Amino acid sequence: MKFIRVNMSDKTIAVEDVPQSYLGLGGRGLTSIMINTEVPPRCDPLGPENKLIFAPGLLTGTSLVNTSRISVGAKSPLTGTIKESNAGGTIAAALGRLGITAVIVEGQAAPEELFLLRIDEKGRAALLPAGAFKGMRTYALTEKLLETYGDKASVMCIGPAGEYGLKAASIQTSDIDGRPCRAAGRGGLGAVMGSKGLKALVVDQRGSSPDALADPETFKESAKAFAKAVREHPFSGQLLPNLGTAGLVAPVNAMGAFPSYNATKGTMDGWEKISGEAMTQLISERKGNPSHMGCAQCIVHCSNIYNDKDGKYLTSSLEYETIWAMGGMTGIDNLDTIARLDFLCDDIGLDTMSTGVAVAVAMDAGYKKFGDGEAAIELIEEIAQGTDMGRVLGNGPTAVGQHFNHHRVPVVKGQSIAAYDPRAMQGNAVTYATSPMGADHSAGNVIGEYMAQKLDPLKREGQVEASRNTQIAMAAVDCTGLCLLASFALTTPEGGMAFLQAMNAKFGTQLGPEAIPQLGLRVLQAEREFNRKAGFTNQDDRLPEFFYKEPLPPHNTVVVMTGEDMDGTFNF
Amino acid sequence: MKVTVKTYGTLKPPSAADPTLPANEMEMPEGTRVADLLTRLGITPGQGGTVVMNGRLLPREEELIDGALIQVFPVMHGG
Ligand code: SF4
Repeated sequence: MKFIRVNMSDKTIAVEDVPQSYLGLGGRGLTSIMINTEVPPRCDPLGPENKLIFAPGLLTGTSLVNTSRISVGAKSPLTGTIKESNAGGTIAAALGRLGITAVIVEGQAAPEELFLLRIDEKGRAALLPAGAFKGMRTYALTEKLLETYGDKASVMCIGPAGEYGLKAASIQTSDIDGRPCRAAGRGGLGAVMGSKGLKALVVDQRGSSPDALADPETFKESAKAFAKAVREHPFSGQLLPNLGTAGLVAPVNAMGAFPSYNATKGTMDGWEKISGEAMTQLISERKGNPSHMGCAQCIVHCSNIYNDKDGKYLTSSLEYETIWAMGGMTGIDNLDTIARLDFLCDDIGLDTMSTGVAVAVAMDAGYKKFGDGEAAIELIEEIAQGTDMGRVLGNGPTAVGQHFNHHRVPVVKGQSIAAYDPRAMQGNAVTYATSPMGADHSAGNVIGEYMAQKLDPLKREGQVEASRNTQIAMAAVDCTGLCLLASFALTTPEGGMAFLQAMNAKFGTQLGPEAIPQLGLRVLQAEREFNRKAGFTNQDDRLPEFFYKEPLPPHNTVVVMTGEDMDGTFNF
Repeated sequence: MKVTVKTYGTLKPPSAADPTLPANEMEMPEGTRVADLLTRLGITPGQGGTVVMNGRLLPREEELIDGALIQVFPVMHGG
């Protein structure tokens, strides 16, 4: 249980035991509570006062399945709010195996300086000059770093977009095969990393000093029971291994909630061509892998390897949100083009969602035609080249809307919505509006409630409660390192019990089931507090006007949730 | 009545339940409810079986309409 604090201003590294006030925290809970405590809320997100925190979850580094998620936290340059961006891959487990609770990057290197932070298999950290990697894209960089530090290293890095300080810049991280296709995409945290002068974090995966388990026997048993629950859940055990998250393309289009053509329609013409069913078939025909293990310790395998028509690698981990942003929003119905756009974003270090929506807003403003895949590829290359238009796009949809004076910009607090239109899923309207992260798909997505027929997506009733409960649950899950996609096993009695038992067996605690939502609440409270101090008010918890005024076909509904509904969401 | 039924994800197509009909068509008695359709398709409650008829989510007790397009999905959550 230790922190590695790296000061980029004077290039010092301090290793400290986790102080009392942060004990028992991990993942998003740790990043958010630390930011709320240590970062001046009104600071420049790209200045020396901001901190960039990498924190594996509470159970990361143990043998529990699917616990290899890392939380990356900072004040966001995109939203101006607190931000936690979550990624898979192998680096969280690597840190966990070294007993590292968080790596905290502070201060700022001089503008021309560039470094990488290396942590070896003994947990020793060193800042090394990385000037030679300036401007490098993530695939080439990761290959080079794995060559230098061995294929047992995990890489987390930025591409040109992060170095330029663009607000849609991601932090990419290597998957099980050493490809930088996993992303902490949201919130422009790649720009924060760039502003610190940090090009990459390289951590050896061979650490053997994880935090001790209080009760190893019980832990082992509960880990086994939890794995069983994950395997037996129809979503994590059947759907995801076969179709990945792309399985959602079909139902969301069927429900008329797939924001298409820059959120002017709720069903995309020809969505069948970009569905999970179509993707899986294509991947199999081309001898890719539709059921790929993306992250360490994963037994779900939602990832994929997507080959081009000649059977050559095109991209990996093509996901629902990317297919939507690069396909639905832009009207591009060609999976190969979408896969290429996904690869480019990973390689340049861009959030596929913010970038796809930025392109869609430009198309809607008349700059390019909807459906023009070649134009989309050229626009994204412009971001890497750093042209004027590239910088506008790379700063996300709000910047594009301002540039073209275009009103239809689907963002909340500067961050684009996700692949669920709030006019056809009213509960997600509440989540987009009120999440401390800005519009977000993993902070409290209510679609599961609709598909389980617990709630009518078009009616006002029940949406606030559904959003609130999901936001609390997600905030808690994000503390543990557990992948959201495996977390639905927690809703079964066996899965929930096994997980809680594993937590107690690790920490020697006697937590009851109420401890989980309590943790979520504590995290949300810290995040809301930070945002208040940063100047956000209830008036910021609203959607853009067009969602209340422009009906979305086919249901021709608008957002019916009121300001009071939004303000009552966090009634704690 | 006749309805067009499309299944998605990991669910078996209607032809698996009734090989005598064209791949996506099903012949049903008047008054067939969503729950009856799911049984006919061999979908267990554990697998889900979210039914969308002509773009609207349909509760289990709801009746199907002649000539409708019916889409059936397995259990899914946000990702
Ligand atoms: S389910 Fe997907 S995102 Fe989650 S751990 Fe497995 S590969 Fe990674």
